[in-house]
Amino acid sequence: MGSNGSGKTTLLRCLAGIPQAVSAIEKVEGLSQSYVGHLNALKLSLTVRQNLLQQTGATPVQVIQTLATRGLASLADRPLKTLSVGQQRQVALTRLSLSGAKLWLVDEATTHLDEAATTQFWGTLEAHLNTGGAAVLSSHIPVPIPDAKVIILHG
Amino acid sequence: MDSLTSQIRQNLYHNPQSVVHVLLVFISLVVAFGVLSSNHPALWQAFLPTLLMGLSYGVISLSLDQLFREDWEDGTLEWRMSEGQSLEIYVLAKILTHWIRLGIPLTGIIGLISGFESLPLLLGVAATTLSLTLLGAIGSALCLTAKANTSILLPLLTLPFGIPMIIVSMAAVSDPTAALSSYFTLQGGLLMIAVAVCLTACPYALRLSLR
Repeated sequence: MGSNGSGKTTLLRCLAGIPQAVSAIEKVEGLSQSYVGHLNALKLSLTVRQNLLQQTGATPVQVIQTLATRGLASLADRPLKTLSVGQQRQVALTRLSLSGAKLWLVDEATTHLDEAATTQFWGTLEAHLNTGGAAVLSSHIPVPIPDAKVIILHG
Repeated sequence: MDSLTSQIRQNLYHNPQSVVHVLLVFISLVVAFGVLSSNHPALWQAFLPTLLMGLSYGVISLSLDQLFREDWEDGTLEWRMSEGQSLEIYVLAKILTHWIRLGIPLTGIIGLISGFESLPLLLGVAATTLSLTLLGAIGSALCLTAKANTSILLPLLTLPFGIPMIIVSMAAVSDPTAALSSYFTLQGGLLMIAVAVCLTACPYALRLSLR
């Protein structure tokens, strides 16, 4: 956590290996990682399904199942540009689960999300942590995960 | 996950109409010149190579300024880097897609106008359009962080390096019978230099743009 401009994004980008070629973490731990930054990295002209298939290497069935558990199944064939900002963010976060990565790096995950979607994301995150995953998040709101380590940046 | 061919396929599927307008500009200018010089065949003969290669350079530079911009703005580039994907393959896929869409049609049109007189001539023109695309891609990557209108900046940046390629190709188009011996070798050599420089400079410029 930390105030605006305190370096949360910079820290996460360093962890994700941007702009260096190899991520610091990958180099040391050999961990697979999945990064969702400020920008969603989704193509507006493609549908939700196409975006996720291109980016994650998951099978079409996996994509639909994961979308269904998030309540996004009805959006699967809609072009991304017809979705609201919050829905686009939800699609970007779906990429985390689909990537199968052990480590999630998420920059201000809950920005633009409504209350239900926020709760759902914390639920997904907790399930990921309980199955041996790890995550580094930056956030402006308290993270409701028991024994999460909080680092406060002061710029 | 993403090999070169699968990336090219994805790119081709995405935004396929992006180069149609520059192709139309190219065709209409050549046709206009043809109509204007219809009474002066000598003029047509003398200026055609210059016109074809000069215009090729112009339309390739003009169309390249958006090559990496969308991926840069929507975060795709950043995400690719975080995934540890090879930027060299990404750059190559972008360039080859652009060349398939614009370079090959241009080569076809130039071949059509020059009457398909020799295969080396066509290969030489194809090599030149690919070299110009590679060169423009470096400019495009370097211009990413520029806020001003980069469609003017990019041709200015690449012009000094594009001119030798254009000159050699103009000579080749104006003298198709001699193409095999001298010009094609030069065009191929310039292409090799462009490949080597581009695959070093482009990924570096892209990393720089994300700092």
